[in-house]
Amino acid sequence: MKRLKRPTLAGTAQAGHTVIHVLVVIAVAIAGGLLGWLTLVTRNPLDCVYPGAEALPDPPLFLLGVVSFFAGHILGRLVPEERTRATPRSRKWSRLAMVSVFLVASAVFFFEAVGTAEIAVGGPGGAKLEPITYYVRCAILHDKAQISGGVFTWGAIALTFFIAGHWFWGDRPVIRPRAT
Amino acid sequence: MDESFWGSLRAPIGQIAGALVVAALVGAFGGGALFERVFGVAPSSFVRESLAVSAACFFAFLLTTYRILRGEKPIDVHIPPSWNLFLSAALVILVGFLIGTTVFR
Repeated sequence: MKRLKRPTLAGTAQAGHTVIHVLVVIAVAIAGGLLGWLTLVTRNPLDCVYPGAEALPDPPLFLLGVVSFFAGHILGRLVPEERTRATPRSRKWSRLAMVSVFLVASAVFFFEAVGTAEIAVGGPGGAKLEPITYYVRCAILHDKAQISGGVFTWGAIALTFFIAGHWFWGDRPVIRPRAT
Repeated sequence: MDESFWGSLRAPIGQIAGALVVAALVGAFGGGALFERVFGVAPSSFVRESLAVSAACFFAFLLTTYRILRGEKPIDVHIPPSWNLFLSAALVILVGFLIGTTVFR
């Protein structure tokens, strides 16, 4: 009869690492799909003036972001004891992702500069661009007032801050080389 | 190699960080002047900050692409452990600022 392996701390960390990384990919795919679907089926609001404009600021939303960020940070401790080597294919995709992130971030911050200056598109009298924070606030208000009552907002905030805390500030244990 | 914070500034990551700071300054001041000429609007401090980050990201994009095309490794974004204390503090302040301006402004 095959003996069951006794769970070890390293095994638990390996399993936790796998579960988190699979769940994050699934959650990002679901959130991205939902956002794409919402973009297609909902009409853009002409402005962000809602009767319930007191929906922001929202302290619980702020708290959710902080908790998710630190949860991502702490769960960074769950790393496999033996790191796997990246395959050539994986290395190629990670390089493409790195280049894309820098290029998109550059475009986003240029848009932010133009939006912050509130420059009218197509000359004077055209629609004014706004800073990215304006669109974020607008999306939150629109979601709370007309779409899901804030469910999508909570999900997006939790996921975004969890990923930020986990990837950019993960509490990875330092693996020291063994003394010979 | 010197593993202190100051010693790590001589490592590739330190040199890259220095180049990014220079690119950000060029973006803030040179980019700001260009912005005013093109759009006819005097750049506020927020506009200059956005242009600085945009320029730094674009420089990182060019540098990464150049290195990959030459068959070298992309820029090494491995953060030296001696930077953790500074980065942790800066990151928490930055995230607090972003959440604060997004949610409370």
